Amino acid sequence: MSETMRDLELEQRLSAYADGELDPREAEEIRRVLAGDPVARARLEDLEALSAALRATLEEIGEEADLEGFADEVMRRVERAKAPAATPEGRRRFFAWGVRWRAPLLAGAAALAALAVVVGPGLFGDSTPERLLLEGDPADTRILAMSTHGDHGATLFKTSAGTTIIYLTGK
Amino acid sequence: MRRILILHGCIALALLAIAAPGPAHAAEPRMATVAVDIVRASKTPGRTDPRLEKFRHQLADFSFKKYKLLDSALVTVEEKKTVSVPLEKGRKLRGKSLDITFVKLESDGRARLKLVIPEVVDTTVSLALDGVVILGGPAIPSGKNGVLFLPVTLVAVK
Repeated sequence: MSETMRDLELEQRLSAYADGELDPREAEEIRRVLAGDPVARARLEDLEALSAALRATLEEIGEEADLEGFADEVMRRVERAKAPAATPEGRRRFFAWGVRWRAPLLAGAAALAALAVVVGPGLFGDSTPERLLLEGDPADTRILAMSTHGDHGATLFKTSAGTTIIYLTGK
Repeated sequence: MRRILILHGCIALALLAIAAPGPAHAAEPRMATVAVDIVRASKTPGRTDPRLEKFRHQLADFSFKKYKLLDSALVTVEEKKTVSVPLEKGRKLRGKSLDITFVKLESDGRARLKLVIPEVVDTTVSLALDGVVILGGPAIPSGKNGVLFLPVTLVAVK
């Protein structure tokens, strides 16, 4: 198994661990990994912070949101955002994140106006300046290109007020 | 008589200089004025900095209990040039600055800006006047003391 695949698998398991989705045996394995791997511990902190931010956003917006057509709209935006230029590697990574987040997003059902796309490190590094990644309030803000460096990742939010937020993760 | 002729000549030259589309006038660079606020958001209950009232709606979707303005900068950037806004006061990112490049003035009056936190993120945005994009920082290492938000606002463009 390549290092990239191992990293991706660990990322998925850490994400599941952060969400409390692992069974006791798997959770214990992750705890052992965390005990000896400071990088994994740092990544878990990032994931927990991101998870908390997403949940808080979804919960709060959800209380007032009109959910009709919500999920379809979110997925449409995600597909539109990722389709044009994601590389095969990038696409796998996107789906890894997308699947991880889809369940809580749809369960939270609320604010999905708030989330457009979650990207891993460097996913859109090959972006062209003309490609629209995210449109906030159409009269206000558009994100045309984005790349992250090293172990940093980013989540693009559009809040219920239409404000565009680039939420950075990583140390 | 000679004095009058000289005076008239000077006036004529001055009028010509004003009326003619001078090369210096045509080459005047476009400028964008950008405000950057460095905000620390935390879950610790407390009073939000009143100077952040303008961002109340933008940050309303988050569940942070307190926002504190650590620093503000108002920078003017010439087209195709870059200015750096130091983040030292609120630094929780690896990068030490937010580098803002005014890429170009778009046909609809928006400003295209490239925002770079070295070694962290590199993004290009298109902002209308008063448009805001917020760069939210990673969690502060303790995981309990909040995160950084860096609202970037296009204040003026000409």
